[in-house]
Amino acid sequence: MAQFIDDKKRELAEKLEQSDAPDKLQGVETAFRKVMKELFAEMKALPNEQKKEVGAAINDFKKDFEERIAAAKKKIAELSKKDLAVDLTVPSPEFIRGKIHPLIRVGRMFEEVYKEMGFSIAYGPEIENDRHNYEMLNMPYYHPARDMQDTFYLEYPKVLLRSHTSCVQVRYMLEHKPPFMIISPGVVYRVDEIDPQHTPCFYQVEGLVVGEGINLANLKWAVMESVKRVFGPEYKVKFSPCYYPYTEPSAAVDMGCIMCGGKGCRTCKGTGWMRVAGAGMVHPNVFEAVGYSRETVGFAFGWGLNRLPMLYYKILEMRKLFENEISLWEQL
Amino acid sequence: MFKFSYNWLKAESEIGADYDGLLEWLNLQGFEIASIEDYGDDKAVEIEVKANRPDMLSVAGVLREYYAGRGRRETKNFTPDVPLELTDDNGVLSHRIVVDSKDVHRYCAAEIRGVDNTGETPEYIKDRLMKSGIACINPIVDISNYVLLQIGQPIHIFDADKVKGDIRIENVHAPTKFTTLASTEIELPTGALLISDDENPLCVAGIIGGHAPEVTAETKNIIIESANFDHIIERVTSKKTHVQTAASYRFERGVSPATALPGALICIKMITELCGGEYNKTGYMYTDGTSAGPQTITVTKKRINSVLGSDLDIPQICKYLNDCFFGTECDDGENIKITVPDFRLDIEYDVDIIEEVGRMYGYHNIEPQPIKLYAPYVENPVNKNANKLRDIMVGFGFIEVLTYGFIPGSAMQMLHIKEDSEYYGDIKILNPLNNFYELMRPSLAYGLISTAVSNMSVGKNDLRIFEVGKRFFRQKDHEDGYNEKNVFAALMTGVKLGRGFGIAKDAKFSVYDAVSLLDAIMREFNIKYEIRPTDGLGMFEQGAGGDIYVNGRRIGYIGKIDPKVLLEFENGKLARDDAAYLEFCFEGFEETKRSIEFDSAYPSVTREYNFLVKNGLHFTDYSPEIKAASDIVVNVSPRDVYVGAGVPKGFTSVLIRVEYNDPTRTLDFEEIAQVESVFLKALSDKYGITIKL
Repeated sequence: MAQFIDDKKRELAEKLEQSDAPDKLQGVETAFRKVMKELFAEMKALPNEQKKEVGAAINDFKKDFEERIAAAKKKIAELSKKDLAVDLTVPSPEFIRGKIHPLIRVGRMFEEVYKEMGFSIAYGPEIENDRHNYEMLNMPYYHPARDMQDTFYLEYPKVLLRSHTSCVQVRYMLEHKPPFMIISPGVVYRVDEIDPQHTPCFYQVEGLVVGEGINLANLKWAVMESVKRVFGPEYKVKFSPCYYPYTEPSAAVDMGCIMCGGKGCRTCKGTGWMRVAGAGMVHPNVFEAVGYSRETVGFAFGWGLNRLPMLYYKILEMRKLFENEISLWEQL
Repeated sequence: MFKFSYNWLKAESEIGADYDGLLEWLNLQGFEIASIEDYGDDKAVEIEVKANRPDMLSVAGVLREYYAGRGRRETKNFTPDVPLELTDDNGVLSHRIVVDSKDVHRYCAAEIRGVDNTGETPEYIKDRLMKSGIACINPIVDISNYVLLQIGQPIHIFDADKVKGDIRIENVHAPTKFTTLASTEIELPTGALLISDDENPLCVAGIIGGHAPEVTAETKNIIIESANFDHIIERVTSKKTHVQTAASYRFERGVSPATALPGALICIKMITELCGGEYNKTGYMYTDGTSAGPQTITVTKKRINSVLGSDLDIPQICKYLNDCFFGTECDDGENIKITVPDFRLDIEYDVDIIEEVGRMYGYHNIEPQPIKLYAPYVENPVNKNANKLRDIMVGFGFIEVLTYGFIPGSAMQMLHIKEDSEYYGDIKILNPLNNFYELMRPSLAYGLISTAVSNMSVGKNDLRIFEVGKRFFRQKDHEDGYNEKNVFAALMTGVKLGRGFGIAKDAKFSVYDAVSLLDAIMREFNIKYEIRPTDGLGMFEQGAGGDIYVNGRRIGYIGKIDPKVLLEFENGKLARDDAAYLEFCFEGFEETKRSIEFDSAYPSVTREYNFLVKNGLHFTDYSPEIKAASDIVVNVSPRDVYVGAGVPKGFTSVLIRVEYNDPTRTLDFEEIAQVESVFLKALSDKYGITIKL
């Protein structure tokens, strides 16, 4: 009898060893139940004194083999789990979101901030005339400050490509009475040969606030606050005296150079600062030119929008903004 | 810009100098340090001087600013004690001086006879000139330049022996040729101030000299000119002749008439000391009376504080102004009468005074204050539409690009756009940077195609790009003769759906995708549009281009770019796949409100029909026949078009899906079969369209 049990044990163990799938294991289990049935039937036929010993041996066999089957079942279940598993780290190329140009992205951030502050958005033409672009902005034909804003001319006399979006402000003032708060985003042109930091055409976001009680401290707030909201509160901003023919007092706005952290590098010409905006209280001559009284008060600012995405995305060269290397914008 | 030797400034200072302190103060006052050259024991400092502060274009000016920061309220007197009697008798010198122009404000002339100009210029002068970037010529010329740098007064010196007869200063009445010291011929514009003798032009006043009266080593007798010319004529002449010199740079920004005499006196002193000679104790002085006395401006304390947003009191305000050499008087605690120093030509209005107070107080000390102003918000529809288009395109996986508003002169030929086309561009730029930027773009196509092919050159062949920008065109009745519109354009080429993940082979963009894009955009705006075939725009392949119309008005165009057009571009041969393009003006787009239609509770039946359609027929024309067959036809949509094996030449196979539904009941097949027979007959009778077997 003991020999018989051992034979069955070995036979079943061999089968179990080869069972690498649930159906095979099922076969082994069925065979095992059948063997058990046979063994118990045979045990019944044994004399009573042998029954105890053989019964214990059969029970040991049963317990041991049931455990082995359970373990095999678990192992197979685990194996099959892995077999069925999808590699969820593989994306298909189905969903690709497009990208907005970095300059427009940052421009929109500023637009949003100013809209929250209550500014409206005004647009104007890129082909302008001398009157709107220079004359009415306190820059008569002989003004040396025109050198800083030299632009392109078209074949009709005094028709040019705007050198700043301040002409939008002039047009707006000619058509509206204060109070108002506007920003005028758009493309502007300057006679600048293309090099890493210059392009003949770039973007500006200018602002104009006219109304009673407006002062330089309000201007400083509008400028500082917008940088804080777009770039974060830790960003360094400098507000210092400057000169523009169309504002008095005038101010320059510099931001700490993000490339060198203010230590001074090639991008910031060693100063640690990057000029990002010009600003000031609107000159009474400008108000007079648009038909307002000289006592009118208001401020204006103008962000050189090209600089801001450079700072925001660490784009080292301004000209890259117009080279449209798609693989760069895909990183946004 | 003004570049000076720091040691020179230090030597002139009566209170010593502190290098770091000077730089910090200049920076704080808005005079940016443009460059610093290190010479070991000295530094050449270049500061940026804006157009309003020509008084800072000299060592004396920088020193004044340094004094202002240090609170020393007395400026240094650079005028030497040289006895010179002035007369308005123009015959007092060896040559008569005839001033015949309203553009001359001062003309101070002095004469020295018997100079020796053969020696060497002293080292300190050479050193200081060199550090300011001025070349040394000979002692007398060097001294004249030295005076210009020292006090900002341009000086011109004539070799008296080379002048023939009178020295005459007058405006030219017609464009006049003049040869400069640098032997370049320039043309003076009408009105330019020219100084001539009886025979020759001598120099362009305040701008550049000529060869005739040139001072050389052999010069013995000289006439020193220390004059003041009007800034406008100086600016206009310098701009028109493209000649800018250290003298013209100062004159066009403004030189104080008060420095004319000191300039002459310093020259007399230095030249007689260094080159010998005897000077005529009487000098000629012409004056037209400008800037006769100091200017005064009255500003109130209230106005100053209201503009700056500050709370400064009278003693503070007066201190700041006195520190930068303004005189102040205030009797009533409110009105301040301010006397402007003669060197501050930029101070004209009260706001100029307010800026002085502000910068001396320090912009960094101004506390930001939120705006307390209510202004109504006005929506800008163009801005709103542009942003909406961007958001739509981002959703479709397109990347936004920005290209320049100007394009090459050859762009129209490259795009095969003919002169009679509405999209032909011929607005030329008179002063383009180069021939790539000669024309204002009439369309965004040049920029987008260039962007596409330049990306193909770096191996990027599958592209979906778009741009929002302006197109420019002529319009006689519009202001200045030009007009411009905000347009949107998109270009797609290469693989749109790549092989793999259930897709058997790469699906590529075709012109139908451009139509799909247009359709999706128009659905977003809820705008009805139609596409009509066009032959007008040569940019598209024959028969594969159309115009986009909204409300009967053409707003743009759409089509497959002619491969021959792509070949016109550098790297265009890299384009292997179809490139589809669309562009339209989105000004005036207004999104209309729409309501949602609820679906029928009964199931729809969908059938697909493969039609054989003769080329030239339009889906938008024949598909209404299907719809017209019965009310139970609720939707007719194209699913595929195919040309190739199994389709006869001149025909296209069009797969159309038709959805049948009745909101009141379930449809039966017989009914559908009947409707089918109606539209199949109509299509066959009217358009010759048959089911493809």
